[in-house]
Amino acid sequence: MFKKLLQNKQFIFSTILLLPVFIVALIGQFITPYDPLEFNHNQVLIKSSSEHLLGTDEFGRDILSRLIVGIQPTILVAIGATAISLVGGTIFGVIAGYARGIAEKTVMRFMDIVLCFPPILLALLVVGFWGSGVNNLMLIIGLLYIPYFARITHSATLQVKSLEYVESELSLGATHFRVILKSILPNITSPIIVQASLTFAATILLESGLSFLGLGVTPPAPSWGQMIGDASGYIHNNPFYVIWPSLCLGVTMLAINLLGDSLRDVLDPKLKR
Amino acid sequence: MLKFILKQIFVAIIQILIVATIVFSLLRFMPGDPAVLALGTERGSDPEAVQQMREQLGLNEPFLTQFADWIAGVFQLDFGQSLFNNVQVWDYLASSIPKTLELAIAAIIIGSVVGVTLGILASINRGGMIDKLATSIAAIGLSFPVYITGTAFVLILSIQFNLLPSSGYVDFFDDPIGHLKSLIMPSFAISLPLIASITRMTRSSMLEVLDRDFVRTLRAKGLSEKIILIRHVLRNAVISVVTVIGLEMANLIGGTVLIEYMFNWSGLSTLLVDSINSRDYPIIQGAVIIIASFYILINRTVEIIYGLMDPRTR
Amino acid sequence: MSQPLLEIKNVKKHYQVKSKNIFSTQKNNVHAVNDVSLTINEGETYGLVGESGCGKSTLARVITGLIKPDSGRVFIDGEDFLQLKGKSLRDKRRTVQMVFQKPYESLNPKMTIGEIIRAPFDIHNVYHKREREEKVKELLDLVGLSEKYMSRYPHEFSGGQRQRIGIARAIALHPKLIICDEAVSALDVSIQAQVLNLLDELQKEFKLTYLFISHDLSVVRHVSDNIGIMYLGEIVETGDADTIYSSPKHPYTEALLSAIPKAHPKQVKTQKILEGDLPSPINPPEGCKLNTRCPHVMSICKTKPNLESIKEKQKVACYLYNDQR
Repeated sequence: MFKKLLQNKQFIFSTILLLPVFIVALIGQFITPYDPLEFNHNQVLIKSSSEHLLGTDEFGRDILSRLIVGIQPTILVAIGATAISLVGGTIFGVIAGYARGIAEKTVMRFMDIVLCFPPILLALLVVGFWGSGVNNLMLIIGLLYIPYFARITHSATLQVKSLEYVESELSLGATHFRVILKSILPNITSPIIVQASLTFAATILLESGLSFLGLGVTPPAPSWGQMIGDASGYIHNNPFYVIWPSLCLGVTMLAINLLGDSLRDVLDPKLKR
Repeated sequence: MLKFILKQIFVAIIQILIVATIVFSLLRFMPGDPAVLALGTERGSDPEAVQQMREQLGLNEPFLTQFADWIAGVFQLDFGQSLFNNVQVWDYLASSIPKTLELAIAAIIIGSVVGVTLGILASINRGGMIDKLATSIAAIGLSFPVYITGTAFVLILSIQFNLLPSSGYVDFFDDPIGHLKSLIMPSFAISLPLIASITRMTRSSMLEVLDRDFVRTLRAKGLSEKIILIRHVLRNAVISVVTVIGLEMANLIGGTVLIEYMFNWSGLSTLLVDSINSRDYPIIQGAVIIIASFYILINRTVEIIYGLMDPRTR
Repeated sequence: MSQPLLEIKNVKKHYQVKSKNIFSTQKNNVHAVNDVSLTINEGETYGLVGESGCGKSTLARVITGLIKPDSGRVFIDGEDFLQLKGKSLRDKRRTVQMVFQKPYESLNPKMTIGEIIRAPFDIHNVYHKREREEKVKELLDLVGLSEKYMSRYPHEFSGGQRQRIGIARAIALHPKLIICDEAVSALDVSIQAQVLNLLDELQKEFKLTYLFISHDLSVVRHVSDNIGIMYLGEIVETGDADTIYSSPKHPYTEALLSAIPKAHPKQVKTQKILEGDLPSPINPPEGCKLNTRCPHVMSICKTKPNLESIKEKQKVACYLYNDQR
């Protein structure tokens, strides 16, 4: 599996693009040239200068520094939310697919209810009232994507469960716990990984969208989506203010999607379009 | 068939009721007393005034009574009044629904036309320049958030070349041409993810058909490529457009929320975001129900169209 | 007479098939196994024959406890298997093991061969960790595979090798009864013979009892002491293998046997072909299930015939031979 991935050019390319993003997210606060929160009213909305490589924003804060720090909350929310939806969705999906009967019906009906809403609507509501901030965003977005995950793991479990090696374990007298752990889960990892990459992209999109609307990561701490939202008001004064965070977010999203596509091609050839 | 359509309508009604229930209860359990909010910070500290306000808003009734009253109202399009002035929620909704619909429909039309065209061109030209171009546009459209492409449009079309207004809604009856000008960038920005998905879907379904045995037979019979394409294009194009609209509905709604905010387009989503910020919960309830209902109705319609085209999915 | 190893009494298993529309749900019963009884003695090989879909596999899964029957009892070593719970059920499961039909899906692709064969030990917690490795090597050796395969994965093996691995797993806990559910049908004929020989050797070495399920009459004849013929969830004829092959009584058995290709070119073929198709098990015919296709059908065939002895070693459920009127 790994070997095949390493032969995939798209996978290599997107990993190379994403690696610096993750490194910056990890060590960002130690490498900023300026304090990303520091106001400087003498140097507002300047374009590029020897002091401020990428210019300054409406409060005179250094854009480069804010970009470097601004990736962290986004990545944090995306990782956390993906983890929550992965764990929750896998648990629900596997239980529903394995136990069938009432458990399946309950879980699936519940999922149907969440799927009645477009995700951004529920997110807006909850964030708008319970407040934003990294932890809340992580939790809410994670919960929202559980049903999408559960759908995938549910159908994958159904498929694996009917295979003879599961029956053989059961006829040996294996506990359901062992069957799920040893026979079901290892054999549904491919769709889980593919779905995780899709969810990761979707959560970044949702987080930056909320931040763009001013309902995401709490100011003054920056995040890319929020910077784009703030900057679009100053697009006439300093177009570069909006260009830099847009480029960063755009390229990151492109890389994540390419990564997801390559994972799908390699791990789940049946899904290939 | 009639049974199938009835069933879809029934499902839609149930789903809308569920959404209504959830929104209503969610807002009831949100922090903050609406009565205090309605009174503002000064008078809100006066317990007597708060009590009076609660009475007026019906907040002292049992939860279920409040809910029943509200649901009964919703079916008559009576969503109550705004917390902060005496304007009916429906008046707000009625003025913003057409604006959002206009944006969404424009986006769907652009997405379908451009997407199908690109998809067909790419599939005829498999591996060629046009194919590569279309595939790249699709990759970008699927990855870039709508407000980034929107920003790019603004930078190029209004700042660089000063062709279109960078934001704002112009009423059609005041200035028809200005209205269309203000519509172009937001609707194109929203449609880009749609264009991307429809291009991909059309391209792959076209390629699949072109690989089939019967197409080879048609070619062997001496039919021209054009006739073969036209004969199968239409059907495939419809299927891919319908499929994508079904799949992309959630994203489309997300797109209008972000783009309306960005372009100051005073539609439903702007109304919703504003009222969330001011916590005007009767408006929030109304806006959420309307948006979710559109979402549900379109999903059901997609199911029905599927059922019409392919009896097996019924 | 000593106690039989396996005794099945009046086992029934119906599945409900729902055909839905909005206003009503119609429930239909599929009679997968309908009132089946059979007895298998220690050390013998019992061949169960029938077309696909006749309920053989369901019966096998009832015996291994994978499927709970609607009614009926299953005795293993005189103990009522279906009444067992918890630990005693787990222990009893060791007595019956199964070799599965599809070599390409009966082994977990994410486990090594070592882990697969060790699974029975892990599940029942027998032997110490280090001993288990040794036992796995022994088992591999028994089924004719090299012990260096232990760390490999199933996809590296051929169908015949996989089936050997499945057999090693089945005999790991020294069961008394092994159910071979179409265990060789998916293999090439030459490989079939090898696997059948292996099963034969193991039977001699460990005094195993086999329930050999197959749709292939020539294979069943090759291995079986006793035979049961199933049709649409019922056993229509059972008895000593030689007797049944030399003088089949039930019209269905006759038809099946006459369909076997004969090796001798000059032997006169008297093919008895059944008319029509296998009826859907969803709404099977009333009475004798064969009455839609039987050349000798009589009016009494609308009621169900019982399985009655006609010779010492032969029972048949057909009114041509039993005077039950």
